[in-house]
Amino acid sequence: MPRLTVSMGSLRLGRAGDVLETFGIGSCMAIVLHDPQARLAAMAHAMLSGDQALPLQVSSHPLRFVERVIPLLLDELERAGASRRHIVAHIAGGAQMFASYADPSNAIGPRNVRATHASLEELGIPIASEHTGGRGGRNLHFTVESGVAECSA
Amino acid sequence: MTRPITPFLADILREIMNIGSAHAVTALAKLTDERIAMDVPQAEIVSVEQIPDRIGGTGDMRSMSLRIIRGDVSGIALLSFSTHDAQDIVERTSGGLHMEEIGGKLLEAFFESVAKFLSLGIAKAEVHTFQDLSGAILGSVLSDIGRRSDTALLAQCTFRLGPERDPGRVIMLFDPDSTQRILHAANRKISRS
Repeated sequence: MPRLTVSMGSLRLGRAGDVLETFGIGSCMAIVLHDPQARLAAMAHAMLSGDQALPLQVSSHPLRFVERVIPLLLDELERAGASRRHIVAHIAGGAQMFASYADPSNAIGPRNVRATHASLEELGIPIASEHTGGRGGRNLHFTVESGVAECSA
Repeated sequence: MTRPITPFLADILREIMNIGSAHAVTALAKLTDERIAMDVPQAEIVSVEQIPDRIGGTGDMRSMSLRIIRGDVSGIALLSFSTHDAQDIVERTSGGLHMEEIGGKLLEAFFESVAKFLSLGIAKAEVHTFQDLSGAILGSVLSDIGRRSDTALLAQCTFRLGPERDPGRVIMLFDPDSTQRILHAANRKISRS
């Protein structure tokens, strides 16, 4: 079964038979949009929400930010033949990695989770599975055929 | 996007990493009473997103000691071992040191030598040690750099405690402003000598 690795700050399209995977998700967000009927999925590994960065960074690095990459995932899927009304989301990440010494009010992970929820809600995409929060990293494996998202540490 | 740096600047950065890493590795050799082989350091300016793949093993569990660099330059220093080697190092050190203390001693040796060589002020700072997926720790550090920067200076040096071991790594990440300050300090040093 072809395994397609998604690096931090990138996105990839997967088809039936593919496994999309991304490794070492900490405070970042892994976002999968999946059309089970068309058996298509696209995964991104975004680093931040836009409100945590300088505007120039947000405008020049669309794959770095959750609010900017989710519409790009949607475009990628629709271009490949997915139907908007069938698309669901699977999300993972948003851990508070350095909770032992970082200021919790400024934690990147929880802010990333909130921004991901808000963006998906705005686009009307339901969340089918969620593995977010906590204090540890995750690897995410998404099987396009079955629509199963598995997290490992 | 990777921005090439001139061979001259790359040599300067490698030499700075060489000085710091040699002191850190010597400190580790004293603590463990073991011979340690050090590789040639690497230095490059890389887009923030490319850094985890440049370091590799993003899905591997590692013990990483992290120190925030503040003073004349700012950045992040990381010392990375496989979890097995970290446990072994802790057991070999006399006096029952924790990994946090070992990481602190090694990174202190690194910064004392580099600050002295470049005549830069680098503040003492606490070291925090985490055991987690390498990519998760790096990604969280890089997210902070990615708030304000396209690229970072990545300088790293690998070393081996023995042929059967995974290499340990000293990793330094500096934002573009600090990279310029390091290069100015190095140029000042060279023009004086």
